[in-house]
Amino acid sequence: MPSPAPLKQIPADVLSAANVTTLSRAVLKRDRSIPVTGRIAEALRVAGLAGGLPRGSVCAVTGAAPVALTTLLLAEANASGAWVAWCAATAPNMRALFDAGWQLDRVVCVDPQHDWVACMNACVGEFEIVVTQVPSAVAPAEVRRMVTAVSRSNGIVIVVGGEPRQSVSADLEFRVEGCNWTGDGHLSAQNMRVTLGGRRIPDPRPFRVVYGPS
Amino acid sequence: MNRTRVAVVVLPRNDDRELHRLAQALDVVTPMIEMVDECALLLPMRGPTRYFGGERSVVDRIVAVAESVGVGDVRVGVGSSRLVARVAADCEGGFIVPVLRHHDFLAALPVSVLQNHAHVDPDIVSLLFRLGLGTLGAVAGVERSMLADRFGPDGDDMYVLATGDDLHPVCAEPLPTQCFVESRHDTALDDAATVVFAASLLAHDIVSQLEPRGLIACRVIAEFTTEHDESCSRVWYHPHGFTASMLTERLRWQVEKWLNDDLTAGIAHMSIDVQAVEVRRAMQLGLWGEHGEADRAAWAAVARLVAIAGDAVRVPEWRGGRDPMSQFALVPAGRVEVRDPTAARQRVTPGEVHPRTWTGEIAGIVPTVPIDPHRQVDVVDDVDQRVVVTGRHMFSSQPGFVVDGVRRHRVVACFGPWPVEERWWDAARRRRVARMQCLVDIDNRHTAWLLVSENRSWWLVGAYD
Repeated sequence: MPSPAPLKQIPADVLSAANVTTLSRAVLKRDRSIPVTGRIAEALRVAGLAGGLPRGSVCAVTGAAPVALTTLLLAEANASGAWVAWCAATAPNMRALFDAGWQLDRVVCVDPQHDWVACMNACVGEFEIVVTQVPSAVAPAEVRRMVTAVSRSNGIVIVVGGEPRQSVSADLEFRVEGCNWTGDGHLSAQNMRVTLGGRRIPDPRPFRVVYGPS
Repeated sequence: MNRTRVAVVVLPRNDDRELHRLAQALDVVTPMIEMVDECALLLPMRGPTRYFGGERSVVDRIVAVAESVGVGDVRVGVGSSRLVARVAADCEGGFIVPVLRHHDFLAALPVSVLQNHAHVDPDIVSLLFRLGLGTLGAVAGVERSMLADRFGPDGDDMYVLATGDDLHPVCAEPLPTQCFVESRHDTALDDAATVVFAASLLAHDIVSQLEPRGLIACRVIAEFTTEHDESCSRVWYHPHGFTASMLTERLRWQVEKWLNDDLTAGIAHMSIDVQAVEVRRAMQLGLWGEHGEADRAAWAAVARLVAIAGDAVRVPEWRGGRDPMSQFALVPAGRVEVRDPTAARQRVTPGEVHPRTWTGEIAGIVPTVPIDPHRQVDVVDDVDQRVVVTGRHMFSSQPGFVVDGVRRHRVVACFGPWPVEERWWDAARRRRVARMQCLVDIDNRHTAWLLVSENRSWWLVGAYD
């Protein structure tokens, strides 16, 4: 029986250094990122991230209205098939997610109570998107370990709310600087002024998004 | 005809601890108490009726026992089948349906009770409506074979329920076992996680023993015993049978609540006794590629999370209503079948189980963050008079400030009030509230809040954060 031809395309040193799993992960990571639409996608494109949120990254959403912005940020990804684990003490109002176009059968909420580390270990790498708030009692080393786990995984973690802690050096940071409201008999839209910054973005730039019926 | 009489006790709230306390306390009235759902349990009546002298005195006894363990306002319904007793308990105050009125009572019920209380598929119930079979009486009037032809095994079940029988009998004494598994532990288990793990092995064991015979367990007695012979025995019932994960979840509930009581020793023995089985219906497995790898990974992860965090793992479920903060409820993931995509879609789609549109909803955007528990605040006008909502649904004066504890926030704009009068026909559950959206200035930053006024006080229920 003839032996199969050696794989010429992949250099021998790469093959010896990495097994098939890591290679396929690398390919997946390069080819696909978490899709985003609307103004946020435009802002990411300007910043050089055309596909959306890069997998394996940690994003922070901070400032005045972090949950509303997270809702917009993840709507497209969730609607197109990604599962979201919301691992935080306060779950968002599901009706708001529904209005933003989320598929709620792919949403799981966990209140980590005292064991944030165990819950995050069970979530990271299993769900494509994990939204969390880091409790102040968690040691910085644990947070760094989580960040490392995310970078090896195929998903992303969104740290929502609060000031970004030193230990979470986010790849992308969406900071809501302020909100204007429009209303006519009732609140109808929330205009957010957002700055996109973070480790991957050398020069932070502002943009605007509208939270409300499109 | 000799029918088994049963009583259903419904708690006013979904409170696990109260339900467990009540079940423990009612063990003195009768053994073999069956757990129905998150807020109801079922008692066989034959023994207690004879012992206490009449059904009325048993009901009084149940209410007294409930009050003695601090569970007030329980509603008790008595009837000749599970369905009738359950519906009777849901009526105001609960009542006893006499044997002679059994069929009349049943015949007048809408078919939606099958969906709400007997696990009949919502699609089938909606089809019954469209076929013009709006009441159980109409369903019972159709020939059994025709229902079975049209709806398959579900049609047969509906006929049995509509004619006032039970799919599986309620018995006060254990029946000959269909399948029995037990485990003994020489070193007693005192940690909830290890007990739950051992119980999950038993549950898998039961399911794998029945599976080759084409059966599924639908009524089981689960018993846990400590080294000091304290024991906790519960009957679990589901008309369509338990999968391993459903059974594990129920055992976990039983064990965790019980271990919180003051036990003197660890658990040394546990057993599951299957009392009734059902022919396993064909489970439709998704074709290859129907569910992505991501779905499978997520399902497995949900199961692992439930093992770690228990009831703190929750998934949304559409409930409807006028309150934008509670239209979707969060229910424990362990109690619903997360792996069934059709059921999951149904769970979260407005209008599938509960109606979609409600008059009196607030328009525009809804708050993103619920404030739970609601925080009491005060709304005052420019001269520090409290603002209330008048009988004509107007503000008594223009809101000027929101007082939140020691802080005063200026009101930039406010919308409302939107009055809601709920269940005005029911003296016990009626509710009159008014909602207001309000834009306040906190440290020179505008924030929007949703406030609710009830009984002349204001509550902060949601924030647009």
